[in-house]
Amino acid sequence: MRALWAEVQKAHRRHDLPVAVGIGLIVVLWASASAPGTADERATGYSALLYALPIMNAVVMPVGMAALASRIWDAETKGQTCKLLFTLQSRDSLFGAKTALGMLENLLVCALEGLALPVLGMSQGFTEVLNAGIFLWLLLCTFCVNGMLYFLAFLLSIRLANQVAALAVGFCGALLGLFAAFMPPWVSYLIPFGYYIPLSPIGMNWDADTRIAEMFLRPLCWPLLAFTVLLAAVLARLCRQAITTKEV
Amino acid sequence: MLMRCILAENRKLHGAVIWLVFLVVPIISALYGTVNFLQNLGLLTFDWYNLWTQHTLFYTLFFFAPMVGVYAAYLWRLEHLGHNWNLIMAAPVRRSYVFLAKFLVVAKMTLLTQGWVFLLYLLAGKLWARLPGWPPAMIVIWLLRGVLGSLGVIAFELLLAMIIRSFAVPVLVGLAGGVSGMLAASRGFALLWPFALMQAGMNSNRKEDMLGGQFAPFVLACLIWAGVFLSLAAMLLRARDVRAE
Repeated sequence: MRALWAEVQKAHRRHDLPVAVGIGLIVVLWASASAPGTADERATGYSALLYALPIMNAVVMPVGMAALASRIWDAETKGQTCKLLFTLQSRDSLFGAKTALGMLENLLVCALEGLALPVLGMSQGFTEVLNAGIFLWLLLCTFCVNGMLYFLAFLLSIRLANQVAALAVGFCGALLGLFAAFMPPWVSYLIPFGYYIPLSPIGMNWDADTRIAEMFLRPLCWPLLAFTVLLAAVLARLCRQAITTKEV
Repeated sequence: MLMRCILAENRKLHGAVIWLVFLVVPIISALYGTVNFLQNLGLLTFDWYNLWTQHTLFYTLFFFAPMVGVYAAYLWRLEHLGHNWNLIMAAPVRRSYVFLAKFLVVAKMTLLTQGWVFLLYLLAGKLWARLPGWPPAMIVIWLLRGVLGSLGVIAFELLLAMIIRSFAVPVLVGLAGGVSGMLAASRGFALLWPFALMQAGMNSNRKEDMLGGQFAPFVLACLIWAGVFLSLAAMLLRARDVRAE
């Protein structure tokens, strides 16, 4: 707890809270801009929003998570504090505290998205009832994929002093993840950066002739979620190993 | 003195990892754009304009501004390390020249990026999609307009990277700027927001010219935004002293 409190204090000095809130707000701002115009669109408002959110997440979150992870470790890189820290606390506690802080920030981003959804629905007059189960599934998937991407960026930040690597990987990952959304479905399973999209509980049928889009419920993809959690766990373990074996 | 500052900034880029970003991002965009173009020939016309929209749509909307953010953040990151700020403030050059040199070097990198995007577009069109003829000259003009439109964003990102001692924040702000630019352009405020200027200049999501006879106001808006942020940076550098680490 003491190690976590120290990380929270560092995060306070770094203004991490506005950064985490900013990441959530980018998605909310984007989602709020696609307000439905007609009564028909309002009748499927939540479905359309739940369909669009994973695509928005695929663009924003790889860069957002890389930014959070990079800032959390960069403080030690720039301050060259590892040597001192490793004499004051165990390496495991440092890893644990930074992981806990990262996941709290991830939770904040997801909570903002979750809060914004019903607020947007009310303010834009959606007539559709929000499916609570689907809504929670989306938040759970967002949290897990965010966590996996956080650990990937965290690993790169620990291993490479230059923070360009973590950001560049997040940046290219966002581009690949977004492209995967418009490729055949099997492509999206190969790109973890874009897992928000195959995990999405809402699909869309687009009729090119009539130019009408129809939303439908998809079966929840539990195996992919389990794989995401597994990938996150492996990356977390690699992060822990990187800290415990780090030369100072 | 300005030339010396520019040479110094150029040397910092020798062997820098940001060249990887410079190379990889347009390649991903070109690969996806060409595959998507060839897969959707039922909806798209088999010509250079439609290939252009597929190549640059997402790149311009979401990734061009963060790329500029990476360039800007990298150049300032070197100054934020160790005691380099003390060196800058004590250097026998005008402080505003340090900022201006970074601005010109990032603008040069942006121009090179656009050149790379064009080369990939040309190769993908000729060798992969096997499009007849050559791309219209307008495409080159749109690429150059993209550089012009990015001047305000470059100055803003450099200002941000100078004030905030974090590599990640300018990149993230670039992404937020891309989203806000898209929203501003869709509401007809393209000339009022620097991130939208970049997108309007590139004309990436339609065949008709987004500026349509508004070239002079566009150039004026680009220069005004760049001027505002450059002046603000010069003022800050003049007024603020270095904070000791």
